Amino acid sequence: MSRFLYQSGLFFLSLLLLYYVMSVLASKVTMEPPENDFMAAMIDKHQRANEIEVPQILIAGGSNIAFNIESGEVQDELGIPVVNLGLNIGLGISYLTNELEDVVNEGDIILFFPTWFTATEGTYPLQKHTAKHYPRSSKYFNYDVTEEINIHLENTRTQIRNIIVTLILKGEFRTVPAETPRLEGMYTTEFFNKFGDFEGHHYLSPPEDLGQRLIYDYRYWESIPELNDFYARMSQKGVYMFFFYPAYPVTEWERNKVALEKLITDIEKDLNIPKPIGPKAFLFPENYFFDTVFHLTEEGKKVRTEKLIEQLKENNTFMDVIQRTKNHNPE
Amino acid sequence: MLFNSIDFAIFLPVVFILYWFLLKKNLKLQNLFLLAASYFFYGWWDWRFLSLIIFSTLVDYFVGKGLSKSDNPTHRSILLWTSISVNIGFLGFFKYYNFFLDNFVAFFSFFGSEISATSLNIILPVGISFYTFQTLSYTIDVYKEKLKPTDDFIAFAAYVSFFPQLVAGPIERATNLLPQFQRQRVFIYSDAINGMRQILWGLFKKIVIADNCAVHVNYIFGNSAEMDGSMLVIGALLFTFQIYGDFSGYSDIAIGTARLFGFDLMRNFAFPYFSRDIAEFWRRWHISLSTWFRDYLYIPLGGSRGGTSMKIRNTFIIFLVSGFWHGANWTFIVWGALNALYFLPLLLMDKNRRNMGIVSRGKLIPAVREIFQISITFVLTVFAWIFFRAESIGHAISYINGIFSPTLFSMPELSGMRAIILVIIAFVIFEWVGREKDYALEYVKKWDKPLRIITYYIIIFLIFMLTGEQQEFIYFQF
Repeated sequence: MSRFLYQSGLFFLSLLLLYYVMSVLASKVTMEPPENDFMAAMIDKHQRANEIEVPQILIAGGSNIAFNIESGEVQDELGIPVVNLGLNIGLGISYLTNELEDVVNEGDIILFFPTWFTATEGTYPLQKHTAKHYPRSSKYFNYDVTEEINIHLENTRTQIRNIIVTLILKGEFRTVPAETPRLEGMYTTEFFNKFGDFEGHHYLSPPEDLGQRLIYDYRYWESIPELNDFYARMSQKGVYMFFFYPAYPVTEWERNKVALEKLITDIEKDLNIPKPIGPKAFLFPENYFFDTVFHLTEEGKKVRTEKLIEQLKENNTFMDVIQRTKNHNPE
Repeated sequence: MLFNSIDFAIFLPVVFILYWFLLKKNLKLQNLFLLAASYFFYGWWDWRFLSLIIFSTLVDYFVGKGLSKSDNPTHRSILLWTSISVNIGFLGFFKYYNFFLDNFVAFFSFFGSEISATSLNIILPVGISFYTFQTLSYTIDVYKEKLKPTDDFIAFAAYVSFFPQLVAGPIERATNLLPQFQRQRVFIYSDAINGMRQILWGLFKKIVIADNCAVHVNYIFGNSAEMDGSMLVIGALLFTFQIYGDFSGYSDIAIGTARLFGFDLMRNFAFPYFSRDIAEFWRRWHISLSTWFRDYLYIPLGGSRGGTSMKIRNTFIIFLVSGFWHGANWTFIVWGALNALYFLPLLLMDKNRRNMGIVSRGKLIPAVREIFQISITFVLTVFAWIFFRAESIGHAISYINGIFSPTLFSMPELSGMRAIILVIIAFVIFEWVGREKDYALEYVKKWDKPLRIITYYIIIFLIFMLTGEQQEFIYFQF
């Protein structure tokens, strides 16, 4: 037994040592994420929300809302200041509700736009990445040792791969940013307008195919109870909240119809948040979408915003809330 | 708790050290500790479902005791059926309730009657198909007087819930595993080293082979309508290696882990893709399930002793039930039926037992005839896996139609797949070289120590560098 422990201990120690050497090497070549990284837009969004002293409309969701709405139009048509908080749905429902709780004030109106089956907990590396830019956001998620180890491993792995591939195989070398390296190119803070809407894709032609064409398996959406609790807390606080279904291509809807119809039945039955617009209102042809099945083109965004405003104006409950909020807001 | 997680990497050494250092002199305490560790391991996923395991354990323990005290055939029969009803009842409810309900509604709708029925939001408890079969094997063996029932509840409960094989097998027989809980375990250095090596090989299969294949397989099967025939073939081939890497990898980790604790679990995979016919494939793939069905279903039904019609009936029953065991979807049933069709000609021509030994034993290169046989069997298996992986029968059929289209001969788009294809080729060669062993990496046992250690470092480095997106083990869903 002692021989086994001694030998395996020595073996694992040597592995740890090797890993340490690799991670030191990796840390030497790791480039910090650029300051204009997409997720850094949270700073400006929160700043705007905090600067508005009167009740406001907070649009919450992921990139499906960063890309898909003309907040200026909504503000002009409804007469209430708007902030689009949407960035990345991978942050998770809990994160988004914690974020909202941090910025919301009595009398505010939350328009909540998740995507289908949005996960409750979200992606830890993305949350951590966002906190690097905006340290305040670290209170929107729980610290997780296992995930921290995974991030460390992943970063070391990425850099070592990079060293092997570029230096050894291609004879050149370049560093890559740590974590979420996909948020590159057009995904930068410069492309957000003052409301928090993303406009980077206005200047680019869409790629050949749409990403995130997922086939959903039906399951009960575990975020429903969480959202109900949040809604109850918001109501107590004097905050209004409305739930909206995502914009989605008709073709993808057809492919996922069985699972999505069951999901919608559950939402309609169990989710207490008012839903002023039906689930199929934002189903559009594929040419309205930009790079993924959740990101609209500039034209798609325009159509979607018009439709949203038109249908909201026809909803008495919603317009009552708008009227009451307007009465609170001094001109 | 997943074997390929940091949680398990902490859990395993802690349990190992406490087990051998603090409790090695007391068998009862060791068993109790293993039971607690197993419940902790399972509860890490969802503690609520522990109640199911505990209930199933209690039922079978007391049924076993009841059987030992009774000579009355009616009474014994009632006890046996109580155990079968409880275990199959759990399985039926959690795994098949919605399937039967949906099909019942669809059946009546087809004939014009609209029935309103609400599906339930049922979470499938991880491993339920495995541990229910394991407990059933105990009761049936006690009923048939092949095994004496145990009075030691802790040993029995630890046997039912033994963490290395609790959630995805191998499905152990009480006759093999239970006695191991009842005798003092001794730490054997060579067994522990062998266990570590098998764990390493299992991790390689899971993390490098299965998880890397999974990314491409998910994409190809998810977008099969837009794929060329050649890409669909690649998708089916990659899934063939994914499921092997995933499931046999799990089994290797389970067997290796059990070895660390002084237990010897049954072999679950024996290089199935080197089989020369389908009958041999089924003697080499998921051995613990195949032999379970053979012993507790096929033989009681009469096996292959009756006439031709009985042989056909029993073969279909066993393959259909085996398919259905994998999941509540018609795709699994068709997969089972397809394998029955592959198997039947061999059975009817009495050729199902002609390839019993290891292919090309002692040789590096197989004979041309063997290459041909292995290739045919492999192609049949790959074809059947399409049904296993597809979302629905319609999906499988459109996938197969897509393969047999003019685009079958187009150049597949392999960018992004080259690394995994190279690794798979190297893996197949390594498996071939090691096919006479229990698992391929056992082959290095005879090498000199420095070479052996370097091999382990290389495998660990590959695991680290080629880690794919972490996926659950496929068989967890069964």
